[in-house]
Amino acid sequence: MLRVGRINRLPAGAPWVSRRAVLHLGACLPFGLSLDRVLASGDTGGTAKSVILLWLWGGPSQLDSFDPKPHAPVDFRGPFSTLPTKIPGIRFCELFPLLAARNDQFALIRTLHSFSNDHGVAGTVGLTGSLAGAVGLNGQPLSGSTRPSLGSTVAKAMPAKASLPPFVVLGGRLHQGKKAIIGEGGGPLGAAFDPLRARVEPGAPVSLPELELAGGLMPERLGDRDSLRRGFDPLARELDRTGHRLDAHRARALGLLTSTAAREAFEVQEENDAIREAYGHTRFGKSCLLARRLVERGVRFVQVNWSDHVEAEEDAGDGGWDHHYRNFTIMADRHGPWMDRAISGLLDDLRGRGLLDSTLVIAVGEFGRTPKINDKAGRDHWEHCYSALVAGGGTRNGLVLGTSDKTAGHPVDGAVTPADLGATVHLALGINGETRLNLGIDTGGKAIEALF
Amino acid sequence: MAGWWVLLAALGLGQEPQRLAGESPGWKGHLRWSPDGKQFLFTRIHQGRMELAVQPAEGGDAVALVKPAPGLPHFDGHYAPDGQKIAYVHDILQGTDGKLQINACKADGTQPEVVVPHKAFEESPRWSPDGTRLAFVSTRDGNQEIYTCKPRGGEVKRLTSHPGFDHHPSWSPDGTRIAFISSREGPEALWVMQADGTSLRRLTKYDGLESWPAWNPDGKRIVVARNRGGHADLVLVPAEPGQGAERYLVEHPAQESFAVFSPDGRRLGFLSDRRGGLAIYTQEMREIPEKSPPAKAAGSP
Repeated sequence: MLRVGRINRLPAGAPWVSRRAVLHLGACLPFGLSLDRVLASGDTGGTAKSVILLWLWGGPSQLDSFDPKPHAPVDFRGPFSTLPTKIPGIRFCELFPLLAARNDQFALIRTLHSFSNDHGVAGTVGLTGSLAGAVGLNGQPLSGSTRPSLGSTVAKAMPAKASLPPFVVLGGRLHQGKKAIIGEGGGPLGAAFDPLRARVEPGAPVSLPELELAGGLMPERLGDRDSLRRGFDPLARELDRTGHRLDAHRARALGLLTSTAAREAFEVQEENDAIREAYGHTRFGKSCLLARRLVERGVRFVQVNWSDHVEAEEDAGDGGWDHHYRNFTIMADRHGPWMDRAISGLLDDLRGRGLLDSTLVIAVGEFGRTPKINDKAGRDHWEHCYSALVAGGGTRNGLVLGTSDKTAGHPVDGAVTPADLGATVHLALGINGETRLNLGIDTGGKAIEALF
Repeated sequence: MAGWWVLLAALGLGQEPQRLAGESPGWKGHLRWSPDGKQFLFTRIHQGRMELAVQPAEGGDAVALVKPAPGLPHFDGHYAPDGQKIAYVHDILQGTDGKLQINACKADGTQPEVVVPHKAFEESPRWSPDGTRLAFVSTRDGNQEIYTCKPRGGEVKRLTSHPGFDHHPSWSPDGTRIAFISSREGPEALWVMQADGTSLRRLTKYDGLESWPAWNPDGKRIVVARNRGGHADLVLVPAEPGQGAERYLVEHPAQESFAVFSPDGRRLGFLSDRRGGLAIYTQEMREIPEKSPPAKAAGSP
C-alpha cells in the first residue's frame, strides 16, 4: 500500500521544480507589498485561483466509494464489486467507473479523520476546521467562538474582482434534523463574508433566495432598472425587520442586479445539451455545472451542497448521504451514479476549458461510515477514517495519500484532519501564514504539502 | 405460445423508445404497470417528499397517489393482481434515522393499513400472481433476506438465508418461482428460486451490478438492469437453460433501469435519464419465432 507523500505517478513532462517550491515562492510574493494591496489585487501568488468544494452532506461510505476492501468479510465489504483504476493497485467501488477511469487526473486522501460522529459537530469541523461553537444533537454549543467557514476565509483574503461575490453556496442551509448547523458563514468575520446562496433544482431556473426577499425576483427577471428599484424597497424593509446589515447585503445585491454578466453566470440553461448531459440532470450535476460557470467568471470559492438535509428520503435536493438503512440500494440507484457522472463531468469540463490548473476541486463529507454493515442494510456514522477527492489547482495527479486498515476503519498512516484540508486550500490559493493570522482566518491545521 | 416478445429496437427495426409526456423532474424509481395496463405507478421525490405517484400509460400529468405527511415517506409500491390494492413501503423518519414497514392501501390511495409492521427494515413488497402471498425483504435476521407472508400479514416464511444480500424479489407469472438479486457469490447478480425458497440458481455470470428484475409475461425470460461501465442497460435473461442467450434490450449511454413489461407483454416500460431528467419511456415489442436467431430474423447480415 501507499504512504503519505509517495507519488504514485507523475504526469508526463512534470517540471523538476516542484509545485511545492513554486507555492513557497508564491507565499513569499507579498514581501514588499502591503497586505491591503495584495488583498485588493486578489493575486496572492498561489497555484489556484478558485476553489470548488463539493460538500457531500451526511457522510458517504469510504468503502462504497474510494476505499473499498474487497477482501474484508462480506458484512464489511458489502455487496458491491470493485474496479481497477488508472493507478495500478488502486481499486474503486464499481459504482464509480467514470472516476476510476480518471484517477490519474486527481488525488485521493484515504485517511481523513474528524472529531465527532454527530453531523452537527462534524459538519462544523468540516467547514471551519474547528469544534468551537459547534452544536450537536443535544443542542448544547461546544466552547469557543465559531470560526468562519473555509469559503468565508477565502472571501476575506481574496476579495472578488468582478461583480460576483467571492463566496457562493449552491444549495440551501445545511441541516441536521430541523436545525441548521453552525459554521456555514462568516462568523466572526461578519455578515459581509457570508456566502451568497443560490438554489438549484432540475427543471427550474436558478434562484437566489437572498434576492427573493425583494418580491420573488429571479436573475433572469432583473434586466431593467424599474424592476431593480421595485425590488429594493421591500428588500430593505425585510432586512431591517430581520436585523440584517443592509449595507453588505445591499452592496452584494446591487452588484448582482446591476451586472448583466453576473446574472448571466447563473443561467445554466444556456449551456448546450452535451455539456448538461455530461454533468447529469440531477441537482448535484446541475450545481457542479453552475460552479464551473461561477469560477469561470471569477468567483473564488463555490461550495456545492449535495443536499440540505442529511437524510436520503426527504430533502430539497438529491437526498443526503446519511444511509443508516438502505445504503446499498440508495448508492446503486442514485448517489453512486449521480456523483460519478457529475464529478467526472466537472473535471472534464474544467480541463477542457483550461480551468482545472487554476481551480482546486475537493469532494468530501463531514465523516465516513461504519466499516461493519449494521442490521438495517446500512452503515452508521464513522469519523475515524474517510476519503476525499482532490483535483486541480496545482495539486498532483494520480496520488493516493494515506493508508487505511483492512476494513477502512482507521488510518494506518498519513492521518489528516479537516483543518489540514482547510490549510491546504489556503496554501493552494497562496494565502500565507502571516495573512491568515492578520485576518484571523487560520484553520489551525497543517497544509498537506504532499499534494503539491 | 410459440413465440416471445423482443424489442424492435434490439433487432434494429424499431422506433426509438418513446418518452412519456407529462412527467415531472426529479428522481423516480420502482416503476410498475397497473394490471389493466392503463397507468404507471412509481416512486418519486417531488417537492422534497418521497411519495408514490401515478401517470397515465399513454402520457399525461403525474399525480401523487397520496400526499404523505412530512417525515413519512412512501415508496416502492406494487399492485395486487386484481388491481384493487397497492402494497408499499411506509417509512417513519425519526431524527436522521427511519423505520420501514409495509402498508397496503386501496388503488386510489385511501384506507391505508399496516401489513408487515416494523420489526426490522421491511421493504420491496411484491404480491404473488394469485394474490395469496406477499414477498418482501427484511433485515429481521441480520441482513437482507427474502420472506413471504399472507396478504394481510402473518404466516411469515423465510425463503433465503445467507450472509450476502438477497433482495429485489420478483414473482414469475405462474407464481412458482421468484427471481431476485443476490451478492452471495460476490457481484450483485440475478438468481431464481422456487417460491418455497428451494432450488436457488444463479442466472447471470456478469461481474458487475445487476438490479430490479422483472419477468416477461411469458414466464421464460427476465429483464434486469445491468451496470455497464457507468451506465445501466436493460438485458433480457433466459429464466431456464436452453431458452436462448442473453439479449440487451436497451443499450444507451444513459441510465436505464426499473424495467417492467406491460400486462400483455407487448410493451416495455423503463426509466431513463436520456435526453434530460429521469423519465418514463416505453418501447413497443413484437413477436418473433422462438428459435429463430433474432439478428437473422431481422435481416441483418
